[in-house]
Amino acid sequence: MRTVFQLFVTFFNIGAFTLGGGYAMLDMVERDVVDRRHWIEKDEFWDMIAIVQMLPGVFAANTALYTGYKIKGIKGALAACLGAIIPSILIILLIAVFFLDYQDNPAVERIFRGIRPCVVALILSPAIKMFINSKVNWKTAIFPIAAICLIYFFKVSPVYIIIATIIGSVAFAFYSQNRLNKSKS
Amino acid sequence: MIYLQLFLAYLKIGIFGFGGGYAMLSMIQFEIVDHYGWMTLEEFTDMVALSQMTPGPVSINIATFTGFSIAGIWGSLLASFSLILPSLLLLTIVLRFLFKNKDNYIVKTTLSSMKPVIAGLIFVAALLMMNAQNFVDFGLHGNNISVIICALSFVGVFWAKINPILLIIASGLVGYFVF
Repeated sequence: MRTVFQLFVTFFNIGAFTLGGGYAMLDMVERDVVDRRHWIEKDEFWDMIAIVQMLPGVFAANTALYTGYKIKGIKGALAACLGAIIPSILIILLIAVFFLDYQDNPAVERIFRGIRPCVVALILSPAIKMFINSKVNWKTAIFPIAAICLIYFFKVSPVYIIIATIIGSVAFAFYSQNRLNKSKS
Repeated sequence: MIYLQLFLAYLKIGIFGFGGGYAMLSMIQFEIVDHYGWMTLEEFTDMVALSQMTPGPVSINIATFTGFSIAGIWGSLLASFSLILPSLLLLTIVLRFLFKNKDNYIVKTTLSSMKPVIAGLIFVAALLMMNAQNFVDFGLHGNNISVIICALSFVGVFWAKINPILLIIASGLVGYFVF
């Protein structure tokens, strides 16, 4: 029970004090979970992170879930995950109550007219970093371009794009494994 | 009814939200702005800005924020809960399967093949936000301050690695004095 509570507190701290979402919090999680509490070995922790990164959903919540589960089963998972998201929810609720009252205020509106173009840039940046990181080439660039056009011009739901991408990627993985095996034999 | 729609919208995003918060953005925007029409794109953009400035996972922040403005306190809790529910359900199965197969060729190739499209999803979220509501002075009497803000912010975050929160605050200040 003590460990479950400690998990909650650990992730509550992380949720309350890390800005910039999932990846920014990894250092803090490692320091607490690996170095301070010795709940998991360093290698196992980073193996786990490598897996969690591939999963759909909220990265920070997933990290909390899987760390908690490794250490203390379902109870640990729930405690860690609640810890990670409760500060977010509380802080945002406070801001939301305030913001929805003041959003039509002319001064607030002026401030946000300046902020909105900045937000666009803040999203553009991870998109381009991810393009570079994905090692896309002129041949494979057709897929993201098609996805962008389908969503932007034809208002296709991104969910369908993801489903098609999963199917296509699995098919491609099997195809390239086959080819690899053939060229070996 | 609105609770059920909110639940389904964020459940979908939780299941198919590969690639982290920014990739989820285009899905959230699609459901909240285009599909259900619960808010305008500028309102959504403002919530994204505030979610980036506050601690915690950006997608949970956005879910809480949009949920609250659509259906109050219960809406906010429901949206955040629906977003992590799929992860919660898949926890045991996925952990066991992937730990065993993490070096498996099929698993690895599948996930790396998805990356370019996920980058495209993030890109389209930015693209959709480039409209007249978010760039208020675009094309008007040659000022285009909003385009300059966007370009400088991009240089700031991409090359100069300036803290995004500082950029948001600076852009807000510029907006206050210019617009």
